[in-house]
Amino acid sequence: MIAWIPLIVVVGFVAGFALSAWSPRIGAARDRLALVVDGLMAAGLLLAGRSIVDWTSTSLYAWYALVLVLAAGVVGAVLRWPTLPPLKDPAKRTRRGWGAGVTIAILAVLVGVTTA
Amino acid sequence: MKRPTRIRLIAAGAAVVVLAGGVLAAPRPPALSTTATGDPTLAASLTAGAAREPGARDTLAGAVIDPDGVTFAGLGADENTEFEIGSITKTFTALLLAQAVERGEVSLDDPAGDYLDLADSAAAEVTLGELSSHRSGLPRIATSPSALATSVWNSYRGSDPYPYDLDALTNHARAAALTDRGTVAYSNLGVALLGQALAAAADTDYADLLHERIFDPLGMTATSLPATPDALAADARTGYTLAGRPADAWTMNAYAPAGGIRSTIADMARYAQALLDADPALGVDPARMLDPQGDPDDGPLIGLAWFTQAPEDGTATWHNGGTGGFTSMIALDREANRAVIVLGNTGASVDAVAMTILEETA
Repeated sequence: MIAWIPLIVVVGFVAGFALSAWSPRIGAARDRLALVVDGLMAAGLLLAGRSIVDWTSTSLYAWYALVLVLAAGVVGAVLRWPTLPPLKDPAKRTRRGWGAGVTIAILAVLVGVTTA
Repeated sequence: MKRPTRIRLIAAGAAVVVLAGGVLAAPRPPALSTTATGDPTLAASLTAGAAREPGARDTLAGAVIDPDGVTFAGLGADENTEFEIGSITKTFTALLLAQAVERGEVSLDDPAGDYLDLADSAAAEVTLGELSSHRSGLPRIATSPSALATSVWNSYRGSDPYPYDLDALTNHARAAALTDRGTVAYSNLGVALLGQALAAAADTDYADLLHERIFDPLGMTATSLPATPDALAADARTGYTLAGRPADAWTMNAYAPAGGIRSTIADMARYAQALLDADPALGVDPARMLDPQGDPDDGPLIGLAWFTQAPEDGTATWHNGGTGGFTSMIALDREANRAVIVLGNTGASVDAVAMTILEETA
């Protein structure tokens, strides 16, 4: 079961990004910052998953399916982009900015150590 | 160009970039080598057995030891190719324990605290015999938050999760609580302590003790224990994780008695042959390690490190091993005087490969 956890995490984030880009309500990105962070998390974790997930057990079709879902999420994100505000609540600009920065920094480390 | 059209074009272009990147970056785990060495029948058994268990494969080496001699085979490897044997190292630590008892240096009932600075911790009271048979009650690994974090992070990085020196090891033991002492619960921490206690009793270090009492007498000239990265040869072989990512070598420092040996299938065959033949070079009757001890109701049948299959499952006496990039299995059929060893350089298990060969060649 433990061996499946990396795949479950990657599926969760890639599907979550597609949802945030396409969903009209539940799970939808509330602003552009959220959309960018969701997209980077999905792409980054898929890239890390390339090295962490046992693709010999799950089949490479799972990889291509996830790439397809990521691409669909990117399409949805581009289409939704003009309709979203940069930040839903500008009063939280600092907190949201720091949160996004820390998330992306952690993601960079997680991806970096698997691809170095 | 109208704005909606431009956005749709951008979306389509971005999708194409993602799809192209996904195809170019598709995972390419190593595949099992088709270059066979040694006995063709055994090589075919290795190939067939490897397909039964999931995970990336690269190279395998195997040996069958029976009264007629030793048969080797390899896929992308031969009898002199080096592998990390992981937890099979515990059987060497058990042999050192049995030898030390035979020499009168220690007793199975001696508390670990007699040999290591464990202060008045619970770990100080556990006996050397309990450490070897996994009945000490110590946890599998150190459970302090920093040790757990190091273990998880190093495993994620594909590097050695046991970088600790002797002081750190004894600190881990002092901080550990005992759970169900007397019941079998596999403990790397326990066997690491045991190996260090035996080294202290012999007034040497663990690697030297192995060489002096096992590797040299048995002629295992290609076997070593580089306990730190500095002691590892610059061109030391490394393997791949279960997923096929390159993994760092595990040297394990003070935890090396639980899994730090590097060896070849030829040397491991020599070891198995000595166990089957009760070779005097072992310095002790191997039955002392191999025979199950303790109450069979208290968990798996286990001697000093060696597991014995439950009667309904078979008759093998065995131990397996796994590091970040290697797996191993040694299984003895003591009645038939036969043994099988399989070593692999990925995280994919070779347990079933070895057990199947042992049963097929019976």
